[in-house]
Amino acid sequence: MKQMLLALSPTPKQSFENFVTGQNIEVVHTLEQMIRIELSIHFIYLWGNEGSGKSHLAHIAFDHGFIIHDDVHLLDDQGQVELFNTYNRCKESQQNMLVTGLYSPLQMELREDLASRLAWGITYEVLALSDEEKKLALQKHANERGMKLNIEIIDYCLKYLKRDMPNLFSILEDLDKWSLTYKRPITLPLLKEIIAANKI
Amino acid sequence: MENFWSHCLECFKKELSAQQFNTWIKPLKFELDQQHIKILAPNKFVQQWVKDRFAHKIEMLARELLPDVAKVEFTILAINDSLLHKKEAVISKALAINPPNNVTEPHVTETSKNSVGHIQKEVKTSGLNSHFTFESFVTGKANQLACAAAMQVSENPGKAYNPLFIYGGVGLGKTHLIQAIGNHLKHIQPDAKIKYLHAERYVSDVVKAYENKSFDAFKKNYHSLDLLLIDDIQFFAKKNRTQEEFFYAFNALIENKKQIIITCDSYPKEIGGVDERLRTRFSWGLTVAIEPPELEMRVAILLKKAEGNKMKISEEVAFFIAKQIRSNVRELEGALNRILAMSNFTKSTIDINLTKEALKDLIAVRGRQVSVENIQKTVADYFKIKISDMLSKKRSRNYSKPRQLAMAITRELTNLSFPEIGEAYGGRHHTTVMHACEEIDQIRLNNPSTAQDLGILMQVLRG
Repeated sequence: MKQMLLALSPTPKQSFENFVTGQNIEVVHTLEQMIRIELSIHFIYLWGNEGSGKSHLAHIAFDHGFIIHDDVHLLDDQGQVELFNTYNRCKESQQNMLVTGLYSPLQMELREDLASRLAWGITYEVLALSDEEKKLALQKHANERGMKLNIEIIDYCLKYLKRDMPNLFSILEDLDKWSLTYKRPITLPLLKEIIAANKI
Repeated sequence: MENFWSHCLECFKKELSAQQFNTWIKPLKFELDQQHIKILAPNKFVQQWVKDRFAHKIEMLARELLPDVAKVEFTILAINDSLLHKKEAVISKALAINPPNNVTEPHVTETSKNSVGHIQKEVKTSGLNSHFTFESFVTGKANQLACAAAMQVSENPGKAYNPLFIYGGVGLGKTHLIQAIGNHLKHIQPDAKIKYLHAERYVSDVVKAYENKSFDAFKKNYHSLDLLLIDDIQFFAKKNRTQEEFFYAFNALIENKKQIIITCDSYPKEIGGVDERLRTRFSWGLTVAIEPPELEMRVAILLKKAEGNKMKISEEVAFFIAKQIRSNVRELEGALNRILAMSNFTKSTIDINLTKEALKDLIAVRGRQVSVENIQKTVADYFKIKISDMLSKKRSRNYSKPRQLAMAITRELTNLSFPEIGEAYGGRHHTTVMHACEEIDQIRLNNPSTAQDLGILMQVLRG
């Protein structure tokens, strides 16, 4: 029998502990330094492909009092002016700020005055994880949710599914929900059922 | 005679940049008085500059075209004051606001001199950032004029050029320069009432005053300043109430010989959406341009900034960065921040290799993830085959090798799954793709020439 779940199962809070660093070790280091106010720089711009971990880092920064703006490439003219003003105010008061976008500062056809400001602090490309690192991230994520995840399931995901992290995490969440709802252990057949159901 | 002057203008227009022409030659007036040519400049600064640099040329042209002329004289056109007073009288009468004599002088109480807390608060409300000084401002051909004018104004506020209007592209140091004026005046006249603000902040102050019906306090605040520094005035575009308020503030301050300094991204006459009467006023004093820094200046900026961070970079590295980043100073500073961070983190010295690596994050054209179409095209071009052949069922080694390489690269550089890759390569089964990836992994180890092909292709695709 299907058991109704109470709202969503709690998603673990994003932190440095559950961030799989991969090649982004220097970004993490710099962000930690900014949080501890060990740098004279108060602005950081992170860019990179979707699913590379920018929002995760933005969440951490937010929890440490940063002003955050995600996805700067989506801003319209008015939004850009507002961000420009926010930037100036943060700069004036030495308030830490983090902005993310899909591309490097000058490649988004933003207002020049905004783009040059995005480039003014410190800029990092956040690099996506390798397949091995993705496996580690999935395992970590599953552990935090109290899920028992067999390595064969992770291997299957990486072979047959789109391998960007948002997609992989969402599969993991579906697995968790289905197994709780239908009281079934997490197995390969269950995963295949979910994939089939998602395709419909 | 008028022909003579228009000929002069034509000559200068050809010889000088538009900005130079607008700053120096355009504001000049020409008069012929019997055998004297009079060149009238709007102020002393322009007069001196024109006399020093262009007198020779003007005299030469005069000898050519007006052989009777005995002398060319350079004087100052004293219309600003009279014009201002005439217009001001009308405005004051119509609106009965802040007659000049009643404008409150900046009052500094004794406590503000003694109490450190109060002074700090003053600094905070003044909007000045003490890091922006003349000492830390790197000058070069691109900004020496603006810098010279700024220094003069900071020594003689309200007297030299009022307003001082500084214009130029983004990230060239306009804010630094006008903040330096404020900081210098604060230093030599600690009691001076100074306010630096971005134009957008002024706009929101107007909105607040409107909402709270507190225009009297607003006016009192702005009209009683000794020095008003206002950044990016182009943000006033289409904000009519703001422009009106600023018009009053401008007139009140100029009339009281209080200094106004304005920055903008364009020449006064070219600011869109701003009232003509304001634009005219902006060019009453001195208008100077800041141009993008040339290579040597960019190098000097980097060396100075590195020194400020207690880091050493070689001239070779500075030249390398300066050649990569050409457009503005903010990006230069951002580049240096990134390089210093990388050097600190990796505990390695700053050389060209480290610099190259660090700059990638700032100036990379695109992300390192590439599309499958791009991979197919690049690999096909590399092996000089057609994409259609690569995607076909043809089994000849000429096609199968590039195909396998391309599939393996796709697996590595994209997030596609094996079945998706098979689909993208002519509808192949996913096991074919898995086999190709395994094969290429083996070849990588055993076949140096294919390994080299792979290396080159990856490098091209990753950029």
